[in-house]
Amino acid sequence: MAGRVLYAGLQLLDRQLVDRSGRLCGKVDDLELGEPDDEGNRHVEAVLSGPGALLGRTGHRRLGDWLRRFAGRAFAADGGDPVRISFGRVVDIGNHISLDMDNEEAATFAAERWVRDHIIGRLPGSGIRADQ
Amino acid sequence: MRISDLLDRQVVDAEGAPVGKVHDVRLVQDGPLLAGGLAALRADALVVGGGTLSVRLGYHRHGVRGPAPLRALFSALERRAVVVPWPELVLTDDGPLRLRCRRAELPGLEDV
Repeated sequence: MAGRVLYAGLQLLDRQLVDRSGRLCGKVDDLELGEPDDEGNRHVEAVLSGPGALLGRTGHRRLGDWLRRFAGRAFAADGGDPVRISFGRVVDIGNHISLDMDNEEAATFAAERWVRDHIIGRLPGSGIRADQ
Repeated sequence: MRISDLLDRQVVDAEGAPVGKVHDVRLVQDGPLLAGGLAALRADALVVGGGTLSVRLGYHRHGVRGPAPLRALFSALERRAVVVPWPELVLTDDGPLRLRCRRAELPGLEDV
């Protein structure tokens, strides 16, 4: 049976990622293809999300590589950049991409979470606990 | 390998003639069933040439119906793109992607 046809640029890249609770968790910035199987076919193995992947895709590869290295050091505890989400966690592809995981598990928005935890959360009266 | 490693790369055919730039990657959902309940997406072909804007707008492939003048213009431009089946592709790390066939042998978007 012929499978559904999708165009990566038209129907996947830049689409919104949504977790199982309907919360936003980044966008599809790139797709990772696996090694060829016995028949020479390559399959999409992961969704990549993060500014490093986006910059690499939009012609700023050196800046993207630098950002990936920087984020890998600065936000290593928060997942680094880009975040790699196994394609097996994708449950629906439509106007947005639905994931079978929680926003926190997806670990996107590493920089935003770092700023929240280390700066905003420490401001008196912010109402955000650093461990939230 | 990432999709970004393919997009915007120049493609030349088996005789060295330029075919155009890679504007999109066609995926077919007919791979092994994954944990999320979806079949894996197989890289099936590249969409090459036809003009960057017209291919990205996707008037032809998405069946966009209007406005009529824009649909006529961009659909016509998009249909100038050719489809490179994955087995015809010679993957390289740098420089243009090479094909195993001649440009004239490649199907158009309407033929696949």
